[in-house]
Parts: sequence; C-alpha cells; structure tokens
Amino acid sequence: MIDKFKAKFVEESLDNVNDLEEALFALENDMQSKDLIERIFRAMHSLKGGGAMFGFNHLSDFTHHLENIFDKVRNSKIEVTPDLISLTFSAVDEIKYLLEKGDLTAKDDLDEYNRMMGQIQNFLQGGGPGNQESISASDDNTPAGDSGEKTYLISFIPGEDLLQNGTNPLFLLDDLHALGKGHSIVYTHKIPSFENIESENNYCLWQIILSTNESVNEIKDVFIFVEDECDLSVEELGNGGFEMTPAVEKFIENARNSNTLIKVSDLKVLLNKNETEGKKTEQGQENTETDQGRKKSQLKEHKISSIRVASRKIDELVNLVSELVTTQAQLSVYAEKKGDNDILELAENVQKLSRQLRDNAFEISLIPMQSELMRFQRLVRDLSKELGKEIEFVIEGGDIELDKNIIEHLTDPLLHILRNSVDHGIEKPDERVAAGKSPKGNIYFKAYHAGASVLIEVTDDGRGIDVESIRAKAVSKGMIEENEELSHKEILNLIFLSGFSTRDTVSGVSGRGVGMDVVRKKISEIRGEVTIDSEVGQGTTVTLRLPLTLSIIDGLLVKIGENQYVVPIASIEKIFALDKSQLKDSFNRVVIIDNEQLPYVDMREIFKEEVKESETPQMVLVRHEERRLGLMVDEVLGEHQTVVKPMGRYLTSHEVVSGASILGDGSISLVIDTNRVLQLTSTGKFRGKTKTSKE
Amino acid sequence: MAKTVLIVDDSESIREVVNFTLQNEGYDVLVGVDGDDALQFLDGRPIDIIITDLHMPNMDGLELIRRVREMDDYKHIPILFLTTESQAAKKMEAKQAGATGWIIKPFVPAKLLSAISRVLR
Repeated sequence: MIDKFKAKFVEESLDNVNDLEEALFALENDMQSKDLIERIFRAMHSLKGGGAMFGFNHLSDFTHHLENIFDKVRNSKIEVTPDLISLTFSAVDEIKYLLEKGDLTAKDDLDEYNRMMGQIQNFLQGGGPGNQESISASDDNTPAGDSGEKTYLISFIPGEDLLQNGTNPLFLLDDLHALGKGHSIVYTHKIPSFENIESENNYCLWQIILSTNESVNEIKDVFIFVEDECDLSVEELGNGGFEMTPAVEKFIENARNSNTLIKVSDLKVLLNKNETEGKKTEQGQENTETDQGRKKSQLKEHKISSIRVASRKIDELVNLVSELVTTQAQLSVYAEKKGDNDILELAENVQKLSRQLRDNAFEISLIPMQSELMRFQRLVRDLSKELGKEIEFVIEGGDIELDKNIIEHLTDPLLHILRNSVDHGIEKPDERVAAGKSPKGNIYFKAYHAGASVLIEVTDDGRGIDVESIRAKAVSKGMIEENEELSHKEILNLIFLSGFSTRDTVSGVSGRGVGMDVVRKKISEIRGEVTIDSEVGQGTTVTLRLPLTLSIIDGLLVKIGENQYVVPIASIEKIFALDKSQLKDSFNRVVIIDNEQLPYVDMREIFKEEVKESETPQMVLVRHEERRLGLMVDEVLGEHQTVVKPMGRYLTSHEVVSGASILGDGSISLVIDTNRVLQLTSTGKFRGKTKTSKE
Repeated sequence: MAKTVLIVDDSESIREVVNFTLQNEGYDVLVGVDGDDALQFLDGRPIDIIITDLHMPNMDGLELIRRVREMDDYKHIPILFLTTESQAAKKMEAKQAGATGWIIKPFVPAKLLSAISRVLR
C-alpha cells in the first residue's frame, strides 16, 4: 500500500530539493547563517526519512550521509566552505536523479552513486571523527531467543510522575500478559493518606511473574517508552512454566501485606519445592478487545491549508469555464432578444457568476515563477564557474505568478537567453577590468506586471552586441541588402531570424544552432513577444512580454465596418466619442483630446473594412508603457468576456490579431493585439512591410 | 466511539500514509502540517492521542508537546513522536518535554499501529 504514496513523495521531495537548493544559494552568500543550515538540514532530514519509508533506499542512504555532514555543520564541528557547498550542489543533482530513478540498478549509475558517496564520506572523515551510526534503525531485531518457556520475575517500580506523560501502566501490564501467562502483584503501600494524595501521581508498584517463550529483550521492550522513568528488573526464575499453588499464593499474600517486594531467590526456592506438586490454578487474563467499530472508515474533519491537484484537472477546469463563458454569452443574447425580464435577470446572474468562476479558475492555474528560478540560478552559477567568469545574478520579482502552461514554455527560452548572457555577454574578469568595469559581471533578472501582461527582463552589463557585425553578417548571408537603411533596433532584431548566430566559433555552451530564432518562436507560441536592446560595451537587455493567462480575457466589443472586433480591456485607458469636425481638422493623424495630442489609427484601414464617413466614430485610447494610441472604431458595443481561440496555422502571421472569439450569437470576432498595433504604428509600418520581424 | 488521533507532520506523504493507515483502522484523524497548525485542533474537543514529527517549521514537535502538556484538556493524553534519530539525546529531550513514546521512521503501518496500541486502547 505504500506504493500509492510514492508519486506524492517524489513530488514533495522535489519541493524539498528545491528548498534545499535555494538555501544553498543563500548559504553561499552567508556562510554563517544558522537558519540556513537548519533549513538545509531539515530538507535533508525529510528526504532521508521519507526515502526509507517509500522504498528509495539509495536516496535514504545517500542523504543520510549528507545529513551527517550538516549535522556536524549545525554543531559547529565542520565549517561551511565553498568546497562543501559545491559538493552539496552536486549531491543535490544526485538526489534529483535518485528521485527520478528510484533505487539504482544500472552499473554506470551505481558507479556514479558510489563515487559521490565516497566524496561525501571523505568529507565526513576529513571534517572530524566520523561517528557513523547505521541507518537501519529498525528496532524489531529480536535475537532468536532460547526456545522453550521460561519464567521471570519482573519488578516494575515507576516514578510518581509516570502518569503525567500520558502513559497508562495498566497497558504495560496488559502487554506483559499478552506475552505469556502471568500473574501481577500490585503494591499499594506507597499511597499516602487521603489528604496528601496528589491525584495526578502514581503511587503503585508492581511485580509480575511471567511465563513466556519470549526473550528478555522482548519483555523489556514493553517498557521501552518508560524505561527512563522507572526502575525495572527482569530476573529469570527458571525454565518451564509457572504454576500458582496455595503455597505460592500465600507467599505472595505475605509479601503484599508486609509491603516488601518478592526476592527472586526466595521465590526460586519456593518454586523448586513446588515442582513436584501437581496442582493447577489457571490464571489467564484474556484481553477481550472490545470491537470499537474499527474497519469502518469514517468521514473525518479535515483542515489543510493547501492541496495538490493534478495539473490535468486544472486544464480541464479552465476548459470547462471557457465553454461556460461562451454559452453564457449565448444566453445573454437570447435573453436580450426575448426581452423577458425574468430571463434577463437570470442571464445577468449567470454572467456575474461565470465571471467570478473564470477569475477563480485562472487564479488557481497561476503558479509563481520561483521554482524555475532555481534552475536559472544554477545555470548561471555552474556556467560561470566553467567559463572562469565572475557573475552576480540578481533576481527581482520571482514571486510573480503566471499561468503554468506559460511557465512551462518559458523555461527553455529563458535558459537560452541566460546562457547567451553568461557566454557571450559577460566578459572574463581581466577583459572587464581592461574595459574599466568591475571584474564581477552582473546579470539582472526582473519580472513585473505591466497591464495584462508580465514582462521579464534579462539584463547583463557585458560587452553588448556590435550592430555593425550583425549587419555585416546579415549582408553576407543575404538577409538584407548591403545598402539597406535600418535603425539600430531593426538591426538588433535581425538576430531573431532563423539561421543567425553571432559567434563564428561554436562553443560548447551556446550557439549550438539553437539561436534566438527558436527563442522567438517559442515565446510567440504562448502569445508573447521578445525584444532585444543592446549597446556595445554597455550590455544587453532581452525583454519578454507574456500574457498573464492564455485563454480568457475581458474584452471590449467594438464594431469596425460591418464586423465586430474585441479589444482587450486591460490595455484600454479611455473611450471617447468623437466629433467629425475634430477629425476634419486633424493633421497627420493626430487628434487633440483633453488638450493632449494623440496619434490615432483608423481601424477600418487596418482591417481593410470599407472606409466611409462615420457619423459617430469613437476613439478607444490604448496604452502600452509610455506610448498611447487612439483606435478609431465605428461603434463601441460593450463588454464581452472573450474566450480567445488560437487562429490556426494559416492566420498566425496576421500581425495585429492575437486570436478569435465566438460571440453569443455564434458569429466570430477577431481579437485585436493592441500592443502590436502600437508597435507597428510607431515604426510607421503595417503588415507586410516589416522586414525586421517577418522573413 | 472511534478514537481521535491528531497527526502533525510537515511532510505530506508521511501525513497521507499515517492518515490512510489510521482511517483504515477506524480512527478519526485530524491533520496538522506543523505545530502551529496543530494547535487549532486543541480547542477542547476530544482528542485521544497526538502523533507528531519533531522537525517542523513554524513550531517544532518539542514545542508542541510542551504546549499540549500545559493544556488542562490534553495534559495527560498520550503523545507519540516520529523520529529517525536513534540518538538518545533527541528522545530524552522529547520525553522531558512530555512525550509518551516514539515511533522510529521508517515504519510500516503495522509498526505504527502497534506503537499506538501501546499507549491507547
């Protein structure tokens, strides 16, 4: 039955490993921190304990030794050194491997395991006398006792505070009787006079004559929990069983009355004398265990602050919510058409509920980036060591939450970007000094919210990208004409084209043909964007813009020409009604609103709708960072919870559309990607003409 | 009436195994993720035994045991702790804090049940 908990154990252990790694990173910067050492120790401890329980014996063994090291660290017997941290880092990798594989069988794996184990043991021995207790902590190693029945006299003299720790001495007596045939004698002479009784104290002592096949160890085992709180002796009376005879009974009676404990020697004499007498008095105490209605699994009160759910279930929930939202839109349309107040009211309620449900479902599917960040830190650390570079890696905004599907798609591109920064960006220390920088390079990883999206910036202060060399390369590859005029930014963006790699020599680290083009492709698969900015000698910044969630947004339904479109509400700042005269006077597509000049675009032109004079055009003002732009539409229809469906392969190249949505009446509307519109407007280009982003 | 067990462990998998085992045996089970979390259950309702881990964040097992022993309602109920350390020191510490007994990890369900039956019937 343990097996079914295995998967959970692995999952939980990965969290522990993560925590361990995180603490290790912190420890690297603050080698004295007791808290961190304690945290590391605890993580190892859980791994060890669980590992043994769930059948990960190698894991358990391995972490056991590791734990020993940190136990010594904890007790200040070993100092934290960079060596120790490095060793622990590699050990963490091994732990991950062990979690994945379970107990090892392949020879290669075992060799590696033993090698790591050897290193750890060396460390242990180097760092002080190794007191290695064995991990096999099973305490049921009953030595095969002498076969045959023996009789013992057990004297159990507990202290007065026996009861205070929740021990019930009668249970102990029961347990003894369960081992064989026994006779208990209780001495009550220590009970004080009534007024002096402390009701919570124990004043009794016992002697038990027990005939059993079990060993002395087994008998003592009964008292294992209380052995420090009592005087206990187990003395052998002789082979064979014990029979109660009148003489023995009398002997016991005397002992009780005189309040003197029976001595083994006295009883022995008596028993031997009785050997010939054949009288039997059975004294067996059968424990009639009351059936407490066990076996009945009952519903219990349960209060746990968080639960784990299979991600598949969440995907399904989000899907269902999407469907619900679409259906709800249909209901609203129908209610509107019917004009029946009851149905209208119902429809409104359903709308309200489905919106709350939607928000909730999405919140559930968001997870913090934290867990992935560990891998990034690891990459930067390991790679910089390998390349002989000194790098300070600073993370900001690790607690930003993103849809888990997005995070999954994000890891590889980000790893690649970071690899680039470490390998190509940051210079070697001497180069940096020669360039007048500090020998230690910096890489900043920053994540933050911006409207409906999350921005992730990876900035390094390395050598930057030489625009001219990109240009030369692009020309040589025939990607651009030799005399083509391109802005700084446009040239930089060339590196996102497939088949572009700025380093001629392929190093082992990056530039393995997987270039920035793959990064861009991956990011656009999750409806994100990637941009790059760089100054030679100053450094490079790669920015990823990602949607918060993938599938449902709050949208504003607008009419452009004869068709309906959706503008994401999160990017809208204001909506204005326009006067035709304002447009007439406008020059160069700038309109003055609230005493401010605003550029605008006529959406009818962009979507090639029939351009005609509209009587009451409306202006939807959208914003992206500092840039603002008016989108001129024919009519604003209202809010719409938009379930964004991907456009399919053929239409993904449509630049200003990020998806499509089914409206309540069954018709389809396109979702406008306002950021793209802004971007393309600012470069003065619309679709088709942009060489920089489309091949 | 079924006996009520409060289990306290920061490891979810251990909690699950213990919980599963005990429920199958017909116990009512309350679950706390650490000492702090466990305290909420100690509000006067009948609890027959506490099984707690020692190493836990927020409030560790030792502290939890000490607190329980100060509560009138639970002063004398049996408390078992889970431990991997076979060192006497830790056991002594826990016993001094007021623990009744211990269960050594790793354990199989049978061992868990027999440890409980030692202190609770």
